[in-house]
Amino acid sequence: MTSDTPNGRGARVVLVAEDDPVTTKILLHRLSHEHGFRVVHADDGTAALAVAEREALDAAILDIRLPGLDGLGVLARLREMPRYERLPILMLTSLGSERDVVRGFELGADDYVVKPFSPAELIARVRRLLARGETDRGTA
Amino acid sequence: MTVLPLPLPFGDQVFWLLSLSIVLVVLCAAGMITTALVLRWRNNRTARQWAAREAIWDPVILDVLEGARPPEDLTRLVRQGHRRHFVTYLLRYVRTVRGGGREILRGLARPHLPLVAAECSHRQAERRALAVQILGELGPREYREQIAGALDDSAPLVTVIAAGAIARDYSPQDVRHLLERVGQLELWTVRFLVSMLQRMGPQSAWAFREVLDDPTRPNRVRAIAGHVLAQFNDLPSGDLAAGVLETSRDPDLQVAALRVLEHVGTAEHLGVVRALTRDPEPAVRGNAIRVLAAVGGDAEVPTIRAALDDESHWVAIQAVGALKRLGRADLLRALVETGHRWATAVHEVFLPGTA
Repeated sequence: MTSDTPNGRGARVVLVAEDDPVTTKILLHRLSHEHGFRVVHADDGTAALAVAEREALDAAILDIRLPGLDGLGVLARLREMPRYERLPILMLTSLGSERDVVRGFELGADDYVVKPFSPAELIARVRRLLARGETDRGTA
Repeated sequence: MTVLPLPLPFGDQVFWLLSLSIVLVVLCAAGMITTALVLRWRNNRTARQWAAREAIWDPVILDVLEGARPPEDLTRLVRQGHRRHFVTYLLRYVRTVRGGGREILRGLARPHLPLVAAECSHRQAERRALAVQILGELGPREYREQIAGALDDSAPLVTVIAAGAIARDYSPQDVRHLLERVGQLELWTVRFLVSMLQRMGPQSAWAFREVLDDPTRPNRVRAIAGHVLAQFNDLPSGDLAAGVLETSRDPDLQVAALRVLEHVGTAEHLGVVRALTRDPEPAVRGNAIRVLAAVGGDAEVPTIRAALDDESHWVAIQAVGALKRLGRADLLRALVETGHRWATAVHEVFLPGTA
């Protein structure tokens, strides 16, 4: 199945910043095979920012616990970039880290999912964020 | 002219003994190096074999989790000799997903778990611990008895893994047994154990209340129970905690009881708390101040203010935090203006952005 491509650049581009190999495999498989997104992966915060500079992202999934610059740091830096001010961003967090969740929202995250997660739920949330982003762009 | 041989400082026997020792040392070193190289080669070979196998399983398991293929498609790929590896592989996935995906993974593991259950009596503690961990993640209901039995294992590592598994999948039958064993987990910090036990959720609060209220239990265990109840915001624990403060002189237990009151205390509990602001232990005094701010109101300000001059810096900082919590920025500003010994800290930490 291929997703709609409103940006006219082909498949929508989703950044997955995650260092756990199994989580990465599941997200890549679901997002690309099942939903037709083009997924760009980074396994640390610095690499995630480099990818964000290079690509035109449509959404980002950031693990909070990334090596080096953590997910919250990446989120803050993305929000400082004018082109990513309204990028839909979903944070992946561990159970019992409410402080991180609150901090994520303060920094401008749109949603979060607690690990271990339901892949179907996560994809549904990403799609909803993308749809909302479209609506925002349409009304802007 | 006759050349006389130089006299050796030691006899022939010593010379041969030394030579033999040197040869033995060299042989031992060579043996150890060879063993290390062989072990490394074997590990690398096993890692390559595992990676090759997982490269075959990966696309199939992802399709199975997605519902695009039946689980049998993956089961068919697992050879008899690779079953143990397959279970370890599933363990990595089951830690990542929840919901329907987790049940699929448990179903895939089910036929192979008897192999793992047999390892619960392995002579190596690490193997037993891993077996309990796998059973806890992939077969918590079917192997509940084995997991609960592992709480009595002689190795603390196995016990803590079993405790974690039971805490993750709360079962009312095992919670008492688990709390009886917590006292033996001395190698782990209170913070770690509290974090692990609170995963059982507020539905298990009754068991923690029993422990907190039982003076025959070790103080450390009662303190852990208190901290867990504080995390649960368990209302009925308030009176129990106040009772503990009236009877116990153990600082760790007192601190735990104060934490409970900080979360769920009421005005009726403040009498015993006020008395503790004069306790010899700084940790008790500081936590008592926190409770006064959380539960009391302006009436507690004089007591809190007096704590600003406490000999312990930590207690004084708690008093500053308490005044901020009560919204008494006026008092904090007065501290800064009068050059109190905490003026700099108050200015930089508690009143940032003020001139």
